[in-house]
Amino acid sequence: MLKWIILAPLIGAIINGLVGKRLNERLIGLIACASVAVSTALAFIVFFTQLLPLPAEKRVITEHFFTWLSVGNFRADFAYMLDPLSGVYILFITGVGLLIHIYATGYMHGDPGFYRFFTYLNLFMFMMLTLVLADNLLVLFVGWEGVGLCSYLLIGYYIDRKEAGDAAKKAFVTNRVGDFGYMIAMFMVFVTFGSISFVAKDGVPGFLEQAATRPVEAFGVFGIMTGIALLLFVGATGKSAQIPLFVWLPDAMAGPTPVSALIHAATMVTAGVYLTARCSAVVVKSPTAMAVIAVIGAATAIFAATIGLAQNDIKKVLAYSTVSQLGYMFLACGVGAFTAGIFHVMTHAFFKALLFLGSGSVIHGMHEEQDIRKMGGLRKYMPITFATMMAGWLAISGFPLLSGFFSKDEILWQTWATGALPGGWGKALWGVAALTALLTAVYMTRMMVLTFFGKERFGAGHDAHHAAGHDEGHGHHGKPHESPASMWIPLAVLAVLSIVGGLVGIPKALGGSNHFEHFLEPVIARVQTADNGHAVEPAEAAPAAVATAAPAHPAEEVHDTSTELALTGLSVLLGFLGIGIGFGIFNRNPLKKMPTLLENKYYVDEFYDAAVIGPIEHTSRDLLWKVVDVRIIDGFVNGVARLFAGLSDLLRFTQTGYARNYAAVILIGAIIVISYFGYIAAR
Amino acid sequence: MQLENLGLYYWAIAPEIIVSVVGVIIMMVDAFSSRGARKLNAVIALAGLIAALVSVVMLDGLGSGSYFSGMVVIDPIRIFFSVTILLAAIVAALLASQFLKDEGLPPGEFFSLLMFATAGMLLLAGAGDLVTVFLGLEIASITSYVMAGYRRYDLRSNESSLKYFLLGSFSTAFLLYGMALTYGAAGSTNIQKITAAIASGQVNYPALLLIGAALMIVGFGFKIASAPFHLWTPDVYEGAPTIVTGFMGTGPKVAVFAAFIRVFVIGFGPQDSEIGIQLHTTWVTVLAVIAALTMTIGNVIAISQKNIKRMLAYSSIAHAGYALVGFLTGDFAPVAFYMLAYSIMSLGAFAVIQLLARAGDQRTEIADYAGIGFEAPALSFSLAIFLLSLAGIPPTAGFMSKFYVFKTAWDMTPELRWLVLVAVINSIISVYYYLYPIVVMFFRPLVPGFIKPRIAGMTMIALILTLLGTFYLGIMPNRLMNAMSRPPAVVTQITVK
Amino acid sequence: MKEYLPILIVFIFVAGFAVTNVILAYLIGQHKNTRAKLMPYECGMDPVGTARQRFSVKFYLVAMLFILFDIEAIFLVPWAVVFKDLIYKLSKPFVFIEMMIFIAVLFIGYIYSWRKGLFEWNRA
Repeated sequence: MLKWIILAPLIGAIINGLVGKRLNERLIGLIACASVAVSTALAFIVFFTQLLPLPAEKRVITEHFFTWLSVGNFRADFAYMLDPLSGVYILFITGVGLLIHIYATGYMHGDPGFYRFFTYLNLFMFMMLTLVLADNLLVLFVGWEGVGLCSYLLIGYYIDRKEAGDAAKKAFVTNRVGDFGYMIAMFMVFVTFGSISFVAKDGVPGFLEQAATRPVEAFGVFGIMTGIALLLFVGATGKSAQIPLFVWLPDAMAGPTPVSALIHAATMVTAGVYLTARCSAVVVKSPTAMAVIAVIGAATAIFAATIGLAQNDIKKVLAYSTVSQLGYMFLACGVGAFTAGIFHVMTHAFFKALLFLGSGSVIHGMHEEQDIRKMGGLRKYMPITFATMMAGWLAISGFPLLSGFFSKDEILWQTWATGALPGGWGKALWGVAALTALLTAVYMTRMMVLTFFGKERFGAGHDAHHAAGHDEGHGHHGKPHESPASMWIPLAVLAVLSIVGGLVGIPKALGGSNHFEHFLEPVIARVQTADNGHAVEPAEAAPAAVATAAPAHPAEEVHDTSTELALTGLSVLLGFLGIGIGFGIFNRNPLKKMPTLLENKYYVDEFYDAAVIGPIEHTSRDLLWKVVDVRIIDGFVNGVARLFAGLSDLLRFTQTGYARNYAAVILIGAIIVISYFGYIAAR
Repeated sequence: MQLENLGLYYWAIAPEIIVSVVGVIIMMVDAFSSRGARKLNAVIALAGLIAALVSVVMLDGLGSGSYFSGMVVIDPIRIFFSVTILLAAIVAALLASQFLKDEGLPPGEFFSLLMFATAGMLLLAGAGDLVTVFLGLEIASITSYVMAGYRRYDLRSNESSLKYFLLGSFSTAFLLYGMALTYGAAGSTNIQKITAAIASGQVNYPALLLIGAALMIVGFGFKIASAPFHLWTPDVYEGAPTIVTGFMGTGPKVAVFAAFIRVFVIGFGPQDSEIGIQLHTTWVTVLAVIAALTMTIGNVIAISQKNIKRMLAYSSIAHAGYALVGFLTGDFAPVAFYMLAYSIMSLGAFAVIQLLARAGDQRTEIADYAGIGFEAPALSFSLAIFLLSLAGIPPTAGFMSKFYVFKTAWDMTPELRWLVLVAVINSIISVYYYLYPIVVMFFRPLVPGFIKPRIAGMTMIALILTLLGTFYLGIMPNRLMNAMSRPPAVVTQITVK
Repeated sequence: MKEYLPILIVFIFVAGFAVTNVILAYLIGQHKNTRAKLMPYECGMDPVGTARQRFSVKFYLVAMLFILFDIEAIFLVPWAVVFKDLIYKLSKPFVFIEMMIFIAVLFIGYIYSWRKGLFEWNRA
């Protein structure tokens, strides 16, 4: 079953890739959507009929596909594993993926590369599912690289636009930096544990199991677990766009909007969070690494949120918002609240996919206009898009009882109450996160206000901004219009999910029982005490029933829910405050000039250009190429090549072409061999 | 002497019987059809080979043992090498049809020669006695001599055939003399009995045994084209029709490796007697030097080749050197895996070369390949894949087989690690000349007069099979490796069934 | 040495047979000597001339066929001699069938040579 979940999109990709050129759009779309629908259906069936009925502690389904490599004690299987963590992932990947596929059939209508687009998109689904269902680090890496490749192909999808190509390259190269960390981490895992598998194989316990038995490395100690955890996190920063490798994600918006929604909001960028949560058994052994993750996450969150305030491209706003929300998720991981992080991954997938698709609908309706300064008053023209995007907006802003509210609130509370980090760290990080929540509400409100409220700021001018290519058949002139059903139906579904999606994880303090967390608990390692490294309890020992709110730090039981409720109230207030500020400022003055520093994204790209890319280019051209390569390496290589070529020419003369000479050489060789044997015999 | 005691169990030689009988049938079809019945013969040949393949797999079920008074044995070595030989023969048969048609050569004889050669090789792979080794070797060799000269009116083909024949006979004499001396020393031609004699120290004249082993190394060394007995290879490979070259470079070599393993690795393995240890250390030393010499000479001379067939001839010398590294581990599995991988990718490469060369091997210079990369993309990409595989680039069979051999040698024979290093350095050198045709194909302007070759159905099947094999062994080598590492590889008792 | 006596007798008989025939032919036959007839007999070749002459490949084909069928005959003789011994030690059908298979293989070779026209001097 598991393998068909993965293979169905691959089959779709193969069909469309091979014969898609000759098929019409309807059929291509049907194949692509059907293949994803199959894997969605299978994913739901497997999840609800096979995984859920199992007892909580034994919720693992493995499927051995084939043994890829087994040399010495190194073993890598192409095997899949479904447990609660990957279960959650496949549900929203296939579900959201299906909706986005359907949406894309409308959005990409009339595009000359229609089949190419869906080939890549299906291939992406295949790779992403491989990533989350992998049962070892190597197969996970196959998926990891695969999604990177698909992301590259799809960002650069508009092959006639230079900025798309540049953005694709940037994404790929930046990701490679992270992959390097991942690979080293993988090697270290193998060397340390003798296994790269998540589950036991042939009696060798999986590395997570082994890691769980290791002592905690005290804060500030740089041991092997810290090394692995940090290197894995380096990989995660690349894929999930964290400081310092976040720069590629905003540029990646050069790809088609469904791609931004699927890959750069809902699924691929959360792979880093998945990796961190999957390897939580390793991460929790290193308070140092956790602190780094938490701080980077929080810093990314607020950093991107401030940039988001000043962006004018609707997709750029959402891109920075994504970076910021990913920062939240890492903050959650860093404070030991992996389940809260995953919860946010899921809700974020709903509302951010919704917002992106909504923005796509807006762009579509506005005939390829992306600048929100040139919009305004659109709710009149696009009521459905507006209504659905409202849901996303309120969800991300933390409007009570919507999905984003629960997950964000959970992260905030866990940060406040963390036992993973020393002393006041949790409180300080909470402050940053709360401020980010406020900013989030502000910039999202700004975006909504500029797009849907106020006066219409478009008109005669906007035709000039047409991007060539894809909107043939819509008529180049005229008012903004609502998008077709294939586009707004997915929006509606996602809107519903954004509203109710958080109900699976209502915390106890609010009268729920947090099913979501209990469900994930068996596969997520728990934090042990941070201050001294003496393990308080074995990581996997606690039965699920006891847990109220993770992490199960003993001290936490003492907290009564009043603090939590107070903090919840505070974050609700912050959300409303943010929305209020947004309305207050931007409804009156939509074109308010934002700080230049923010508008220029803190000049990070320029800084990288000057500090990293420039010197690298300079060094590589003037030193590495002109001196090291041309003079030294080429000189050496050519020298060696000349040496061998010369030797080769010399030896060639042994080949005289006369059989008698050959026979003579054989005879001489025989005499030498026989003499040696004779010498041994005579000795 | 009773009939039962002879161990006459015909199922034990079923593959050989099937292949021989099919060869005879093809002769008869050829004799009674006016125009050679090319397609019919090809189909009969393929059916026979597949039947033989099935029977080899069924042999596996009989379990290890020896039959016909120890003349023939069944063990994993025979099974795996026979499968490789039959696969090589199947690919050759698939390719032969189009070759014979394009070149206008008599079709019937080719297939029967192919069958008899295969029968000889199978016998060689299953030989449990020096006499059967010799018998199999001669059947395989003589048919190969004829096949090398199959293009009767082509001088290069004649030259190839004659050189092969003269030098082959010359080296066979060494082998035969070596066998005779070994018989004199050990008192038996049965390999198991020879081993037993060595193990118990009951060797008449130890010096005789050592000299016998030396002579056999010369004989086997010639057949697998190891230095300094390799000189015939380039001339013979260049002159012979390309698919014959492909077949000669794989099938007989595989078979000889099987016999070589059985005589040396198992027969002359490290025994608990003075002479046994002396013999073992001596031949290991000599073969280690030969292996190093073989790969170095093969790779270095290949660099300056302008003709792709000659280049691949030197490459095949180099690969024999790599396989010898596996040979020295004392385990047959690395060699078996290596030879299977090598056979698949080498046959694939020769198949493409055959197609590009056109009738009469007119275009086999590397310069003739200039710019064809995007004119005949399927062929060019296939050739590129085979060459990359030969160079040992992952994820191809070539990489996995090299990796397997080198890793086994590194782990199992610490005293031969220097040889592994030499082999690794050699693989690096080899990348240079394997990449050269690829560069020429894809980055040079198109050579004038290029005609896109026609690819017949059977040829297409052969190409697809070899491509799939190249990737299968490169990506999923595990099933095969596990099957090969089943214990035990050595037949210790003469069990007559 | 007694057991070698028959061989000696065979030798004497063979030598006597050959010599007798030559002498009889000389005594009885007519003698019309020509220049060609007086030349040393070299299987129809001119005995004087270059030694690097080329022969038609047909001679070799015939020679090869001769050797093959000659071997058959030679192999049949010892088989016939030990046949009775063997049928007691092994079994009758086995010893018989084995040789029949051998003959059948040669027979197939014969048919092949025949169909391929090896026996027609002007075609092969």
